[in-house]
Amino acid sequence: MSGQARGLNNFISDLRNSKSQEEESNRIEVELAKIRKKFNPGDRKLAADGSNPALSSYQRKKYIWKLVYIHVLGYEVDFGHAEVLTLVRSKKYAEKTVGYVALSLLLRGSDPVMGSIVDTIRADLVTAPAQGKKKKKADVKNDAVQCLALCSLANISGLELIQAMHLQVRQVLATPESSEQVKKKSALCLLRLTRTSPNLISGREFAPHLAKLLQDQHLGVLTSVMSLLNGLASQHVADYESLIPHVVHILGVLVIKKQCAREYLYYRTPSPWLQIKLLKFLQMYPNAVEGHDIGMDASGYVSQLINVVSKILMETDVSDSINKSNADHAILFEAVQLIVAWGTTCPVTLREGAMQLLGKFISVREPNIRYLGLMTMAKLAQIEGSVEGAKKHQATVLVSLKDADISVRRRALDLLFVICDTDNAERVVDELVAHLVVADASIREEMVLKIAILAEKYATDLRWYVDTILKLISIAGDYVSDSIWHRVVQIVTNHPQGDLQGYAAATLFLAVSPHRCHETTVCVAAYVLGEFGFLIAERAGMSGEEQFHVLHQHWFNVGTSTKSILISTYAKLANLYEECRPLVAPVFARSKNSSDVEVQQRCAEYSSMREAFSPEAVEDLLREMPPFEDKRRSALEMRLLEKEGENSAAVTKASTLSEVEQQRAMQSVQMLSNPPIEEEMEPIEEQEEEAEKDNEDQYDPPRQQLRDAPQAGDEVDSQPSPRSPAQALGPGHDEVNQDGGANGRQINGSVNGSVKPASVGIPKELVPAMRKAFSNLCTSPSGVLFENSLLQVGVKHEYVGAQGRISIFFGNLHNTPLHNFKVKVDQPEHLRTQLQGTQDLLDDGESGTTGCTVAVKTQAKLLMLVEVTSPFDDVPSIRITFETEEGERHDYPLRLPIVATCFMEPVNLDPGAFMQRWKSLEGPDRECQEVMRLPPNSNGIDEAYMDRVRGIIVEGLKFGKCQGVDPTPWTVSGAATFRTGAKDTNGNNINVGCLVRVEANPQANAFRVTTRTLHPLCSRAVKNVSLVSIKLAA
Amino acid sequence: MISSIMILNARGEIMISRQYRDDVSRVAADSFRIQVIAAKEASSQPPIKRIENCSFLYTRHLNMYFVALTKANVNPALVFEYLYQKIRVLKAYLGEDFDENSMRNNMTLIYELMDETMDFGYPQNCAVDVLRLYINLGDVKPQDEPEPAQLTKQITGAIDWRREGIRHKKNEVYIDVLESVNLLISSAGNVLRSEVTGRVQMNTKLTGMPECKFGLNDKLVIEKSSEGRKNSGVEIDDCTFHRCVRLGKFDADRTITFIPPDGEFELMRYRVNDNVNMPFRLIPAVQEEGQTKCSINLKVIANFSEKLFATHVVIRVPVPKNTSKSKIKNSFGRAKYEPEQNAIVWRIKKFPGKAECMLSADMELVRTVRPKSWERPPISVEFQVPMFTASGVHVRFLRVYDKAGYHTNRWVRYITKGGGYQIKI
Repeated sequence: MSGQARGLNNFISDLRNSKSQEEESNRIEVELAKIRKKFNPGDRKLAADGSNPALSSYQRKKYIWKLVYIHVLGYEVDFGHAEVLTLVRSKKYAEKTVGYVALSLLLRGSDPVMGSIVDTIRADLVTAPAQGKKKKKADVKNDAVQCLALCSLANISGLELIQAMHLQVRQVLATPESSEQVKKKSALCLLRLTRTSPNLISGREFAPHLAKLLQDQHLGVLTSVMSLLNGLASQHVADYESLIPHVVHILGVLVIKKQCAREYLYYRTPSPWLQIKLLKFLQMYPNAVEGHDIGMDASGYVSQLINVVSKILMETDVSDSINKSNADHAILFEAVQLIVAWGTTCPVTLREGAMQLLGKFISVREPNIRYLGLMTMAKLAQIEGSVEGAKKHQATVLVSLKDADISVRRRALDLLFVICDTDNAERVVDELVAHLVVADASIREEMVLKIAILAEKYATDLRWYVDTILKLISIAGDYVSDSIWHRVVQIVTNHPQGDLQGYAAATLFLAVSPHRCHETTVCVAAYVLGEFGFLIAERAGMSGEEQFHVLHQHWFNVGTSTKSILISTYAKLANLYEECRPLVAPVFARSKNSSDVEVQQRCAEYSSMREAFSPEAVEDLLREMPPFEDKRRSALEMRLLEKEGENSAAVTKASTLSEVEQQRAMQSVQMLSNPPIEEEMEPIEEQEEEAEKDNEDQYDPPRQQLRDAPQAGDEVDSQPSPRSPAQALGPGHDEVNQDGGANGRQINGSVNGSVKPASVGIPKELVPAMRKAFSNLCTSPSGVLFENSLLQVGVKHEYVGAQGRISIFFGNLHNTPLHNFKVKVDQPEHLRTQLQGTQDLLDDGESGTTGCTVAVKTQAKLLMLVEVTSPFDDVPSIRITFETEEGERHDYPLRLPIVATCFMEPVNLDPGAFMQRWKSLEGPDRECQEVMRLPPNSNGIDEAYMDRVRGIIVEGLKFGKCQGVDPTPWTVSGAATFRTGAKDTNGNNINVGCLVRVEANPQANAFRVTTRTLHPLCSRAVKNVSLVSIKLAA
Repeated sequence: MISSIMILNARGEIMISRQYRDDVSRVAADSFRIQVIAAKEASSQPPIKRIENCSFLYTRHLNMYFVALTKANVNPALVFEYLYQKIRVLKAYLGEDFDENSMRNNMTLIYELMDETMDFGYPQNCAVDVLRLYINLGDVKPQDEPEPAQLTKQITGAIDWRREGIRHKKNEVYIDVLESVNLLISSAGNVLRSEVTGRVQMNTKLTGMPECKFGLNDKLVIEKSSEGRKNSGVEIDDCTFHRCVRLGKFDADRTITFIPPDGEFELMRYRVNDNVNMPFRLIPAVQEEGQTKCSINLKVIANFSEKLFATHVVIRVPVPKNTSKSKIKNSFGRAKYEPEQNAIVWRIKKFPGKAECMLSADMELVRTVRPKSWERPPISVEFQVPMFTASGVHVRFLRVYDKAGYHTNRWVRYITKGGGYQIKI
């Protein structure tokens, strides 16, 4: 080969030596021109298949190689297919190879020429394996041809090609006579085909074939078949369950009997790749070992499986050879994953074994192994009853927290979070806080959140909790989100027992005493001192006046939101301590003209309060906050209540969760019972307001003052909805939920199940506006099609001849993301459509796509390319479905403004020609007429109105002006051609000529619209659109 | 403003680097080398590249890159103008085609020029005549050296572009009016866009400090001066002048008066939009027959007078991308299919005025995998017509007043070139 293709070599070295992009592309253009010339037969005729018969086999191969190379460099190659096909059809193997390579690179499945090559590929595929009598050599060659065909089939994989071929591929795979090589290739080819068109193979039918294949002795074949099986099973899990015994059998052979061909041994491990694939397959069936211990093991494979897994666990060790231990560890980790997948159904001994082994791995120096170990251990520890095992390794995990590698540290943090509970919480949290001091900025935020959750959840003593959070703020104040300190305030307020409040006040007093402290500390301190400062006022050095000074030293260093809180605190201090009043008054006086409205308002109101209201009312207003509502109770409070015996002992973490879930479910039910979209937010607010009212009634201040009664608790109140603390602390901490175990999850599921089916449609009162928007869009290139409080749908469309390009934008106007956002476009017969949208946006009707998520203030986009194929008078519609954050389902059917007149092209006719055509189009089929009366209250028809109508006919409906056809201002005429993309027998596009005439009768206040076209549907469509638009012009 | 100017060779190595500010380091040249020079990007991409907050504005001379680096939001037109001026100055000092070697040999000179033409990232005096007063190394011959005191006075004086006491034996002025025609014609023959951009180049060899007055057939001036003769002026749209021209006077009565620098300079630039005389008329006819054949007929008519002739005429007739064979017949000149340009390139050395010539080409095309229509790019024409102005501008007068009252010889030359001269097909 090397001696032959000198031209090719030269060409490639030329390209490599070229100095600039320009030079390279010039060289390629020259080469392409040369090849084009060579492919042109000159005076002679082309062969039947379109190739040049004058080319020698060598030349043809050489030029096709060049084209392939040019294509690989990224240049467009759009000719030469005839020569490629000739090569593919050739009998010689050397030519066939080139042909197939070029075929899979240069052509696509959708290309029209593919049809002509299908037969050749099919013939190559089913090349009968040589009979015993034939020579061995021919046999080998046939295999090679089959493999070539399979390879390029997998690479091209156009839809039509798949339809035509997949049966053959299956047959090749299933035929016992096929050689191993061919079986391998065909399994992989089939995998590729099923990836492109997922529902190609019915599992029930195909599973027996796979079972047979799994009995093959050749490990290579097994590996490929397992790839195929994993691919298929991930699409339809249930269909392949019957294959588990076969898989277990193979695993048994490999692991227990260690039977393996020499060439598949990798550092004495029998085919690790196959083992991993087998284990991966088994992970898809988490219930496989259910009930094994009560003797429900019918086929015996379960015990074999458990033997296999325990053998893997037992025998794997850290070995000297890196390659060997890598392979072994890969298998081991898959085995542990399998145990994790089984969860509680897995035998306890296995889990303990795995835990022990992982404990060994996380103490290894090698970071990769440790990373995997930590990750897997975290997963394993989440299975009920495994935490105890993991806790033994706590010390080791803490060491990993100080690792140089951030990803290892992160894994260690995750694991610590999982294994933390009441017994070890104090130690773990202390360790974490100690580590926070030296922790990287990138991991700090995560750590702070986790510490806060753990501290709250497992606190035995609330003072410790308050201390911990304070420490957090002082170490990493910037990473402590508002919700964390809101939570502190809430807990302190709700626990009058055991002098927690006094303790908190004293601690915070000390915390803000230094001149420098974090703003968050100031916030907490301000709030707590305002509420409970009186508890410590008697202590030495903590009098009300001193409290004020301690807080006020931070006044100039804090932001406006903190200032607002400080102002409320000052007001409360001034109320309690006479001596504070002269201190507070100048602050208020100065801040009355602050640039911040909130600060200004608070100051103004506090300072004038005493004049405006009676002393009792003021007293009431500035009294300490009532405890927060019960529904805000967190897991922490539940636990404490439990301890104090106020609640039944049955209350557990899980039930806390379920309570929250129930509340949420109730809310969503309430929401669903209020179908109008505009009002959907209101009921909840009302509810909350009512709740607040109830609360307020307790101390019954005048309603108007209430609004002004400024409480630092405002911030706490503004949390979006009642949530468990973990959720309130931010997203990404579902781990807490999982602690709830199966119980919590089940409730969640059932709630969802019962709520889902109802969905919200378009409310009636929006319909007129939508109709107007629709008609508007028929005549203008862009606009809003639909809008409510959640969603805005904008449309931009442009047309050239029979083709149109419509962009549809779905904008989220809500303050939370819209989930499962799906758009289904119905495709009428008269339009050829091509769709392209934001990922997962399109609902193609097949397999349940989940839809995409449209985040707040963003939009999803759908691009439609349409070509009209025949006249029509209806419009395509789309269906938008989505769910709001609250779980409410919405379902909006909309009509798209793609009407017949969009595809018009104006024709300018002189009066003679117009009248001639007008006359020639007479007849009931061709004419369409309707008289429309304007509503009596309209302004009547005047010339300005007629001008508007003329504008609409010419610009909106794209009709040509026909100068001179209209003798009076009271008629408007137009002519246009309706373009379609359909071809007639001569290959020309079919077009329909359209004429329209609008006559007005100002006396009767009415219009008559007459349309004449060659096609009845067209007439009707044009008439309808014109009528609607004229009405709009009024 | 400009932080640094670097001159790199074809391999991206730094030959000259002068830092004016310290926010960009020499190391930045590496990223330029990797992302622009090594990526073979220089010819196909715009000459501004932004890498990590640093903008690289570059141009090339032979195979050297002149790169201006900046982190600020500069006016790119200013930077490029400076780079071009810089190259002009170097050409004056080192010869028209200075290369890497001559650069290396004159390192000190170049750094001296670098310092003189730019200060703290702001362009300074770039006039060659002035620079050569005090930097006289290289090819530049030292002129009769002025006193240092006088030098300072001149540089900081009102007329820093001309020194006093220049003497020439013969007093001569050469004026070149160079125009380039931009034209776009639709396939139906309608003019979509026509525009002429022109430059007036001068070479003065005058004694003393002469005051010059220059006049074109500007419509505004002519209509004002002589009411009787109408339609004999040209509407000149945008003018920009060399800084020696007194703009106040131009604004008041549109007279162009100035004290010229000694030697070559560009007096003004202008643009004319209306009444453009098209030097060539092209009548193309294209027929596509099915997927495999295409034929093009083109008739070219020269519109200028018989006395003149166009030179270096190159007509590029685009052909479909899948052309495999072409048969070309043409009346004169040479025509050839050049696949690099996807066009038939027809070169005519001398094209007489009022002449007509024809070209007909039949192409055979190969079938493409996916049928695709040919996008039909426009035909483009390059040419030069001496002693012809497409805008109709001509020099009415140039008067030189000097205390000495000597006689001046004046020479005027006109050339029209094709800029973007395109005809859609």
